Amino acid sequence: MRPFDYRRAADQTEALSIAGAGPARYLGGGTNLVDLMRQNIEAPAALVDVSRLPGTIADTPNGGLMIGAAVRNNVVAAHPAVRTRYPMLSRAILAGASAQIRNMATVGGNILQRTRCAYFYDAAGSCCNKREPGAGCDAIDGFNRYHAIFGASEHCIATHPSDMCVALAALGATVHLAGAAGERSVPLLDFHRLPGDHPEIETVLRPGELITAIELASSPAAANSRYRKVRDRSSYAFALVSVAAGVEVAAGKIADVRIALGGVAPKPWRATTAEGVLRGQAPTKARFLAAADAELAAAKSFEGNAFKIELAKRTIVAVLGELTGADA
Amino acid sequence: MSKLQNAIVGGVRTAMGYVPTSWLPGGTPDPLIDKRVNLGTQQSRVDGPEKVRGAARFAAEVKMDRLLYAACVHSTIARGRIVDLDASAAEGDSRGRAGHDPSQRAEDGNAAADRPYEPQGCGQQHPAGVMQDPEIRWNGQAVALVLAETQEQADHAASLIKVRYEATPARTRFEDAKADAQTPDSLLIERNRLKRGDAKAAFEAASHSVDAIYRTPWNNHNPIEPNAATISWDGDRLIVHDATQMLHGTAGSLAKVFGIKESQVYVSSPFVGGGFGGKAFWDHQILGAAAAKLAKRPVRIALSRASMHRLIGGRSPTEQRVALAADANGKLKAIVHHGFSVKPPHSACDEAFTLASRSLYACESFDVVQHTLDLDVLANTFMRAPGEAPGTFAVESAMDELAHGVGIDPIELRRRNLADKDAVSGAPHSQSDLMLAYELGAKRVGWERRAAKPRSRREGEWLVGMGCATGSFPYMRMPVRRCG
Amino acid sequence: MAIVINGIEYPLPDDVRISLLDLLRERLGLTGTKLGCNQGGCGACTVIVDGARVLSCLTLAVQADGREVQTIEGMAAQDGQLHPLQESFIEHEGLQCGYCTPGQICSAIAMVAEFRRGDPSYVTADLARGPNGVTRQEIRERMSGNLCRCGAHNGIVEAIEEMLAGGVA
Repeated sequence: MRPFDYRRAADQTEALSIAGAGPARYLGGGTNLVDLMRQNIEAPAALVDVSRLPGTIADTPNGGLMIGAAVRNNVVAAHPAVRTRYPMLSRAILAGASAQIRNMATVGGNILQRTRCAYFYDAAGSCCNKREPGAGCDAIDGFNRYHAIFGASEHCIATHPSDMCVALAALGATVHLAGAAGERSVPLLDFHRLPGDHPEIETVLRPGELITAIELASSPAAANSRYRKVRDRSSYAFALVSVAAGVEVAAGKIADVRIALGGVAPKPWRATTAEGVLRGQAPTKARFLAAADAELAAAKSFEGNAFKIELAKRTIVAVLGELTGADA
Repeated sequence: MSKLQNAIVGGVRTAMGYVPTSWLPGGTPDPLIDKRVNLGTQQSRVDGPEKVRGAARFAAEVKMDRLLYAACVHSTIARGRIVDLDASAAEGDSRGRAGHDPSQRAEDGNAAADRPYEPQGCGQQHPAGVMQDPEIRWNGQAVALVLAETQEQADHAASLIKVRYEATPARTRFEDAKADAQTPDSLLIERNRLKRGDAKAAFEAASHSVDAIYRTPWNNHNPIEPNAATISWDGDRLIVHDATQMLHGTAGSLAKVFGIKESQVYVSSPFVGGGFGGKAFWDHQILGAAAAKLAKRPVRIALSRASMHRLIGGRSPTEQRVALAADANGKLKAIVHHGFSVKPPHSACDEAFTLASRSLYACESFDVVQHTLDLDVLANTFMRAPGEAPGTFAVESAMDELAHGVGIDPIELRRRNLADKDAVSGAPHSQSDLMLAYELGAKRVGWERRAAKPRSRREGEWLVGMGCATGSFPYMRMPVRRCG
Repeated sequence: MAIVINGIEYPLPDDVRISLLDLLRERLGLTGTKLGCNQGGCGACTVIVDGARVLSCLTLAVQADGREVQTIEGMAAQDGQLHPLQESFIEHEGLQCGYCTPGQICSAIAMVAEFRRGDPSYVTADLARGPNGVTRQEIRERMSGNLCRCGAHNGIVEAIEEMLAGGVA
């Protein structure tokens, strides 16, 4: 780990002011950044600890929820409002990492966590365009079981590892930011970038910008929602495929449906094609399958992850079935 | 017999030498036997209280004054040589101490290059010494060691060392190495090739047969405690607080490396955080001891996981062919077990995966042989049931497939092939309770609920099945030399 | 600026890189907390900070400034009497080599608090209501962040069950 300066900010103003004075990275729980620094993937000259910034979970005037970026993952998952009004978010967080890590990680840090691609992590021995633009991507012809089937480019096929973000994508969350130029907000779906020609640029954050909060809108589909994670072992493992879904059925027809996939793309994958097939239709297993087929039609797999296509379809169908009670 | 075999036999002889002949079967009982009232009853672990308090002291936890911390730099090519090693950035790091690299010969009296040796019962052999030349023999070999006042400084300094290599073609592919496979004469203390009866004829006459390839992967050792040692010199006495299963082997080997007497080496390892065959003598103890001698200060060399995967061997991959021929009743007529495992010349471990198949079941014909492949990789080593783990997987999978082919219950298939004497030597079994084990096990798991047809039992999203396999591990007995 | 560890105040280290784990083991001689992987993968380094179980290997020591840390050395009583969970670990043989044990115990003690608070886990059927009693499935899920390579899991689960049944924490 390279030596660095460390300062802790008591509030947002202080955080922005320290970060504005020179190049610095914000430190939340450290569960990803400290690991990346120890592996010499990241080597910031300075850290601004924002983990003790005030963080609350509060109702918004229009019935939604505002979650402070400094709130720890386990607090979000256990919060009564999240469990009753946005259960997919609670389940998604609970599906991630381990209890210890969920106690440490902040919402902001979870959004900004980086891929766990083994080649990205192998700074000494592997080629990675994310770490070193132009070096190549060893994953494409290598061990790519955990890699993308959507949104990849010829330069990078890594996946975003967050479970929480998959639920936030399905919920259409808004990310609130503060920076030197003031405050702004970005839909979570637009916050992470696809690799394209620049896999080293992962988000739309501007230098010095701080995530301050996540805002959720309320909806019946959010309240009737689940998160299902399929992985190589039953706990404490990254997703092979995960599904966050919420459904509102009115008068026997699907009035609203949200589906997002994890483990399959460089960012949480909102399954808009599947949603389009389902909206206004009666919830039946055959329709769910048709929707899943339509969404996965555009999937492009690699030698080690072709199974994800069928796995994603089955998981989508299973979760929608649980949400609607439709078995046939 | 190889040196390793001699070491095993010698070790047992030494242990047996402490037992008075009168205590052996047929003699008078051990006079303490009546005093040991705890034998045969459940006891709490004597070391339990220490361990639950966190008071048991492991190798990387021994306090030393003026301790230095070590970090390794590893090769990123599999074969070739170091052309340039630039440690200037590391040495410039404040309070970092000099690196130790192979472009300098070790100056501590360790003339290991002139004295190749075969360590006893340990991780691997070092025919060319450690860090005695710029040759790279596997991806991950240690090319430099950094010492510093703290682990953070050592790790950071290690990351600043720049190495340039001249790579040469490396043999790393299992498939490609088969053409040059070796066939060892012996596996541990057993002869490798076994040919009995006429397997070919048996297959021609067989009512049922199975012939399949089974592959098992390389496994890395990953005990929760990383391999580590805290090492110091006291004059010409070497003190090693090690995490090891091989106290004497380590002491003897270090003595040879450093040209001192074994009595001058003190190896202590009261607690080991998981061994499983991997806590043995590897390069890091040599590096740590050499560094401690050069620096004239104690050294802690605690391997990171990344370093462990590059310096501590793992279980060899295997590719095995098991073919079973049986009559209409499932009675075995021939057992064929061939296969390949990886064993570079510097490895001390035979992955003897064909031993179980020679003794598990009664059979008239055998055709059993193993081959080893030389790859430019980290040496394979012993891991949790070496040989038996991958070997019984293959044989028992084949037996399962045979049961399915013959149409009988897999436990019944074992019963029909029970041996009461060794299939190869004819020696009678002193105890043979395989079927008792199966009966007890069958009762416990509710074997009577088993459906023979695959995929026939479904519980919600789950397909539920039941299977069985024989696990075995050899128990070696040696003839005792009568004394006194 | 200080960290309170098992009731005693210690100054922050001069090197900001040092993890809470290495502060405990290398600077303070509190070697009960173990280094298993140094990358958040095994849980052997689990300690309790302000009542919550965390991984000390991924915690920079400076981040624990002003916090109260409990390590395995602080679990037994002042007079040496073992914590009930330490006793049940011995009784149910929830250990073999002992290297994952301090992390298991600290993790389990904090886990009990989470359970009693009604925090759900991934396997909790009724998310809104919370866990419905202590089941082995819940214990295994909640302890999944602590690896054991010796295979003492059954003993660990039994030890935790006994402690939960005894109503102590």
